[in-house]
Amino acid sequence: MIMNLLRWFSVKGKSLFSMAFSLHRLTGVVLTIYLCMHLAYLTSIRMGKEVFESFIATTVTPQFLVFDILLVLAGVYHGVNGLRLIFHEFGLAYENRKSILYVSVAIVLVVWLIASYKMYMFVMGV
Amino acid sequence: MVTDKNEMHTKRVLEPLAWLFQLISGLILTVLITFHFYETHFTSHEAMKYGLVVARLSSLGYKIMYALLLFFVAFHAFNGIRAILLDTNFGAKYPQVVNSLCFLAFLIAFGYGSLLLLAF
Repeated sequence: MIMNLLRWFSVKGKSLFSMAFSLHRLTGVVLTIYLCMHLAYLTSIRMGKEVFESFIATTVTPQFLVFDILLVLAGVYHGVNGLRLIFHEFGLAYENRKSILYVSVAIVLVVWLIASYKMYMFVMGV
Repeated sequence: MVTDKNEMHTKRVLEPLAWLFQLISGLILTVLITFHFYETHFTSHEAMKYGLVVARLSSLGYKIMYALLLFFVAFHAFNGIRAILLDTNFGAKYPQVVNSLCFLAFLIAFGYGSLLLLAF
């Protein structure tokens, strides 16, 4: 099973589509782990204002911003690549699939950079 | 239609309805998560303050939106994990174990999150 999973990280002999697919699964796993963490930390709301705000004060910081920005990259990639897959699933623009893959990567980068900038401003209180 | 034979893995290991619902939940999540992220990170520096979070959780409209988000995200996440596990040798050998564990994980995540929504 581990060897199967490690194959996702192998680049040799893989097409761009295979790599996009491996990244889709990898980001899916990362986002699922984050979902569990997110649900767990939301429990702190039930413990009252002090507990919740001290948690927020710890996590919404410049130190955590790097992780948040990487998480947003995983989320944006998974979302945009997922839309690309759905698009092709219904037979749309299949003949242009390589161009659409490039365009979707460009969209990911643009959205990620904008979101990262906004989050930076948010965390820094600018 | 698919783009590459490797991209067929997920479709191949999931039942047709589970695959279709994975696509539909993915589309819905694109909208709901974008809204959730925009609201909590882009609108105001105060959005994560305790009072505002509790106010959102207490509002019926937000409750419905968060319940839908929770349902679709829990389904999409654990159905996706199920596809990954079914795609391994272990999953091919013990599909019922994988199906049961992933369904249980979905129920726990949805139940746990719902309790939080019901608390406000």
